[in-house]
Amino acid sequence: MSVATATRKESTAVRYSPQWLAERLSGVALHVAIIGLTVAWMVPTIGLLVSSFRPFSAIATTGWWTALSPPFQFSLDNYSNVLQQSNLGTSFFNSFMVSIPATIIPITIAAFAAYAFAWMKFPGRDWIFLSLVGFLAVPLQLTFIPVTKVFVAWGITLFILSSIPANRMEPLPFPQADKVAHGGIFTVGAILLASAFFRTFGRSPLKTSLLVFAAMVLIGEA
Amino acid sequence: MDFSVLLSDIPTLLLVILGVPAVLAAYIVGGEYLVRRLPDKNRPQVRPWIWVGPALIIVFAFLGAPAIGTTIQSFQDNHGNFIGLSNYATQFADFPTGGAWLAIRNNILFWLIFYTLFALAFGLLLAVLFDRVPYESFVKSLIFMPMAISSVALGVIWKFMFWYQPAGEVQTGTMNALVTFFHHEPVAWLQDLTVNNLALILAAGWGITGFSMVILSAALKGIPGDLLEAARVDGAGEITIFRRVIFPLMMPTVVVVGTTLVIFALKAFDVVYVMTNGNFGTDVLAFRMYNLLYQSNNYGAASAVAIILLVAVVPVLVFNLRQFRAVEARR
Repeated sequence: MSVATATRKESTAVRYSPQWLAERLSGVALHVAIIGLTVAWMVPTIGLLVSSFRPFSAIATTGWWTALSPPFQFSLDNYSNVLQQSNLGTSFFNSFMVSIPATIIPITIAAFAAYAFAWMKFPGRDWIFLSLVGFLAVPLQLTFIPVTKVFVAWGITLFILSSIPANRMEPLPFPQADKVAHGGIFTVGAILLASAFFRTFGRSPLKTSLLVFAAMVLIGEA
Repeated sequence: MDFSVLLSDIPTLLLVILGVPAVLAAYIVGGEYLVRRLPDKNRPQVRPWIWVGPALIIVFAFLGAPAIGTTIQSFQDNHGNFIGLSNYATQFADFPTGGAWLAIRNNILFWLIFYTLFALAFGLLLAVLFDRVPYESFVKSLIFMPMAISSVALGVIWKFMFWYQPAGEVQTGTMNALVTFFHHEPVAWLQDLTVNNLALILAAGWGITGFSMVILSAALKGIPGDLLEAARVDGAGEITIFRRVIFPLMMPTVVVVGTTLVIFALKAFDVVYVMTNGNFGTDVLAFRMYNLLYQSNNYGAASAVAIILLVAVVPVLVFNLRQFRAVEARR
């Protein structure tokens, strides 16, 4: 039972009485507050969306909100420029190459481990599990230096760097190390989630791994 | 658009898409097959390690071992010679402006406090307000939307918002347009030393509030309705009910979300990197480490900063572990 259903109590006040009026007004205030907050929250995104349809000269000289009143000056130039200049084929390919294994491997391996943590008894089980919980809080930065060094030493850079064009790498901090470190922390998070799910949903690995998948995709980079 | 790259590499792509799951499946099926061939007595001893093994190896290889490596590195110079605590001494030199002090100040005084409070307060407020209207899921998804935006894009969006032109010129940034509309001087949000840290936190907080709202809202839904009904029958007002019934029941979730946010605050990096590049007194520990590592190639100093970050997280870690054990014990 949700709070919402319990919160909306039946009004006992007589129509058009002062009490009825006060209840109606607080209802209106609630809606105004909610819609106001939501609209305010969306302003940055809307600004970017509107700007993306404006020519560069207009973006540099006037605010995006001026585009919302006539004379309208929208154009698709920015989009066609991006599509022509950047090599989207390669980018798509790279996204697949990196993200598919980077998602499948940790989740599957984490589901295996979670299954064991939830349903099997073995020496040191609780301590191993607790130390995994501890790893969730370790700053990823702690692992970058050795990982980078190992990459350089073993030449693994070749594989990852060659699959990402140089101009795409620039805005991505920690280009190589963070992929690897994320894999580790992703595994830990997935283990915890999955073992909780296994205990609640019983022994249905398929259902569980689907749920874990959804949850981890949602939490994503966080 | 050039899709020829895509076409020529389709075999590789297929190999990855089909090969990776195939190897994983073969591992677990093969492992189970071998376990079944063992004598009955030995199976329970071997089977768990087959299932847990790969995860332990990944976590140790990508988190455990590198963490140990960083710790050792923080006591060494770039050539691997042991130099004791001098990396730390450099970072802690010249209080309050030198070394890492500025970054520590920003992390602890600004990010830890304001980022956490902002995301918690707004997440709670929105969760409670949205719970009372029928179009809840629609507004919730709008607030959650920034979570789907990459942090680099988030920085770009807010750079637009904080755009600054000198007084008298047309303001194209939303924030300064608002400020000048009310006849104030425009503010250089990202350069002005008094506001720029809070401006960065506003941008980052805008992105993460959806996360805390969704989790707190789930906790709110878990409170049984008859409990609130009983409080109402006893004559409690809505505010009293929130303070005395709803909030205490949500406290465990608030604590979990809060500690997660504290960890995010300490790890803050992307927004600073994109929006100010650590200039104008907005440096944070993670960004300082990045600079020492990739700009100055100073492995020892970068490791020392990483360890300082770890030490800052340890209280949260201990707290999390105790919470976790308490919850487990109640099962």
